[in-house]
Amino acid sequence: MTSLADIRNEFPALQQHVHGHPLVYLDNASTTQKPRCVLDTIQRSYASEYANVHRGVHSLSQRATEAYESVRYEVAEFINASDPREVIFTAGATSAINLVAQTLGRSLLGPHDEVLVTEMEHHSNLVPWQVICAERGARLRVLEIDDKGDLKLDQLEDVLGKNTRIVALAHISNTLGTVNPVEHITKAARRFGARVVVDGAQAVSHCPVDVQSLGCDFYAFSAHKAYGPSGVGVLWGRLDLLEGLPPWQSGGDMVLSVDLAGATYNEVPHRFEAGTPNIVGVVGMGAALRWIREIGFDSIMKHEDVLLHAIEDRLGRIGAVRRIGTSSKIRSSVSFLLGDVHAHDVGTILDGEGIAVRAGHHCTQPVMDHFDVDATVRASVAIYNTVEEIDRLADGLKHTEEVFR
Amino acid sequence: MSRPDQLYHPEMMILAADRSRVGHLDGATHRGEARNPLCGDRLSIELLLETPMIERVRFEARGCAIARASAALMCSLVEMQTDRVALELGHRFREELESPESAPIDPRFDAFRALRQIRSRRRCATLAWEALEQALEGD
Repeated sequence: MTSLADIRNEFPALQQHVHGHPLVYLDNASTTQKPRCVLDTIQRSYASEYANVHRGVHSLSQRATEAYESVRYEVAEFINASDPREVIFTAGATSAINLVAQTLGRSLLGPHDEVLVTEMEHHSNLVPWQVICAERGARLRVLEIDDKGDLKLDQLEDVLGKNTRIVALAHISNTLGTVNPVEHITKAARRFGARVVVDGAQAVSHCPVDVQSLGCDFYAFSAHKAYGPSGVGVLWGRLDLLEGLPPWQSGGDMVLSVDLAGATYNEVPHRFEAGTPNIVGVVGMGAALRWIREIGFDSIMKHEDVLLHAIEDRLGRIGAVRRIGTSSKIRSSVSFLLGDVHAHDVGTILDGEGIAVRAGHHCTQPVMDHFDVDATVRASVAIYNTVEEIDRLADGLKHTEEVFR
Repeated sequence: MSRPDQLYHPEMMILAADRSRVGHLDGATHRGEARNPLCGDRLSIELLLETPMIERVRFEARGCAIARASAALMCSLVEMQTDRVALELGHRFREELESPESAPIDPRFDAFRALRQIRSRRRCATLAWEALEQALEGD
């Protein structure tokens, strides 16, 4: 197994000092830092393998196309897709969810139809469904959470029924850290023929994702939360479903032939990848996923569990801390308040100590409403964090208490 | 460069704890509210305008120490001033925050000097002034 010190050494960003302190980066649910292999791959791609993909007959274009298309196979293997054509490259998870909302939504939804979301969704897996429901006259229904931050599964039967066409939920909550029982919900949705869309943005770097065992129909994620570059992500969808969907964005590369009267659309997945894609971003994502596989999810999960337990332990010793989200099934993110000190003030004091956390509503305002708070502090871990860094977080919180005493 | 925690000096903390102008204002003639969509903070003000004089002003904040401190300072500065002077003060405050760190600062706004370097928190301090502008110009 690669040592933690070796892993940390692969991340140039972690070697810096912030306000005179070694950086403690605990904002990984927002975005992760990048290992040298990803940075090198991006640099090499631009320096020696860069040309536009698909349409060129020259060697450089063929090499760029091979590098780009090979990532489709790697992504398929990474999430256990049955066919690489099921992998659509997007600008990120938000773009992926908008794609499926606009295409699947337009195909399936009409008046009296329903889309089910959960109360814990990131705005990116809530607003696209609000938009398409409004457009199609469909009804948006919500599966609520309890005060621990778990889905109220006993109410699933009340909100899921014969009118449900689409169920959209997070694999892991970006605010509460709750790991949702996706398999349970997909089984329930199947009984009514509803399609299940999973927002996997918080999952892909923290646990193995097997879209077959999850039983979902679509799975979306971003590369930048999984050690890859920003501006690129994936929508996975079942091939038979993708082939029945209309295009979303239109332009070059998504068509087979065009005349002034109309166009014939390209095959899946190219039908959904209009225009020049984020070529280098995709290649960089491939490097990130290879890096994750080399570390291995056994090691990742084992180490991140140690970090989470350390956070829970250290926060538990600070009397003023109120956890927001106390599910027994938490992974990667812990939200909390520190007495009546506003989350932004906590975040700023910690920044002065070189500690990067997130403070705000984390694009989950319904979660804030549920817990009747305006904002929380969120500490979120990655494979490169250390228990010593969690100790520094605890020390920083004690310092914050002193400032506001 | 300022350390972020330098924001929280005693003068700022005294302002943030100042509740003398917090609450509802009976007989208010103007109301304004500002929100920061990035963090969900909300700040509302109510004022009694005997044209052109702002006789009284009160605020309510669901926000951070910087937002509360700025609101407390703003209320103390604009009471018994004309609406025009109050709006000019708001423009002046923003200009001061945009100025270089080493430039002289209007002593009334000295508590917020560190925000010249900490751009991410400036909006917290301008929220109260946005609410004031909305109250005076929104109708």
